[in-house]
Amino acid sequence: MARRIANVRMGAIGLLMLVIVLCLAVLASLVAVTAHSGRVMAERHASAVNAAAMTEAAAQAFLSELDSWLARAQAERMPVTRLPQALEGDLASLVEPSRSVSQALSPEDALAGYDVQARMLDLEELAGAHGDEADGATRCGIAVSFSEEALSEGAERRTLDVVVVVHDDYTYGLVDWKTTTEWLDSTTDTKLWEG
Amino acid sequence: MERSKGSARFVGSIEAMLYAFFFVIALAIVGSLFAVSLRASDDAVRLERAVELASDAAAAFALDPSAEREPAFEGGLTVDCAIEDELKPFGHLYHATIRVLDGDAVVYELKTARYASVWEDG
Repeated sequence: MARRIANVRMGAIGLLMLVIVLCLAVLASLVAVTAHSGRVMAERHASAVNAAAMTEAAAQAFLSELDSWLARAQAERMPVTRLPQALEGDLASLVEPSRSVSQALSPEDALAGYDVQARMLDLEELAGAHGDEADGATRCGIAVSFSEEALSEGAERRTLDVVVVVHDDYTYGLVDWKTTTEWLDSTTDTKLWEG
Repeated sequence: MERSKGSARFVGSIEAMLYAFFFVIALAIVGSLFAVSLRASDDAVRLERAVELASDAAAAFALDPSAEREPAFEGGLTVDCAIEDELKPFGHLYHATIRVLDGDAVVYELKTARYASVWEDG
């Protein structure tokens, strides 16, 4: 009888322990998952801010090159009518320093792809350039697109689109400075509810 | 009868010790999981705060890149902004390295740049 009572008591305690341990394990798992997702989100945010700063720095490097190029053109007394053709010819060399700036700034393992595309604006685009920059003294325009794709995220691409117009007095003006984020994952087929 | 009672007590005490042993092991595992989670959570909060401070410093740098900046202390973190001036024919290309430190450890580092043309300065 004594043995039976002892076994029953221990069984109840064991069951209670099992329930407590199970509850704690579930709670610990939830806490661990939440902490991990918080950490991942913080790292993604940090990576996004880094990427934005990197494209910004690359664009600023491009502006400095353009300004220097215009200064040289003015010093060499290049006719303003020749500016668009000369700029188009030197466009690749103008964006090259911004490419090296971005490579120097970004950690090698953080970026999957970095690309700079530059082109001259056609007459229609130049006429349609909004803001006060595109006035009568505007000679030509350049559109530069700085885009990067982060490895850590893998599913999005950030692009900084810059539109610059060049004036007849060998100065430039910013018309557009726009950052966009493009989701690369094809999640359109995902349905939360099939009903 | 006495022998049987003693044997039952012995088995019961062994059983209780086993329960206690497994309970302590389970508590240790769960406790370490809680500790790891707490540390990860603290790291995430600290990183978020560091990114926020670095973004603020980058915005201030973009507004006035040539200004001298002293290290700022906020919420136990130190924001240090080192600016390098690259002279260009018609302006300055300022390179900023913004570091958010917790003591001597770098929590977050942000590098950016800002070009200031002489035309822009008037």
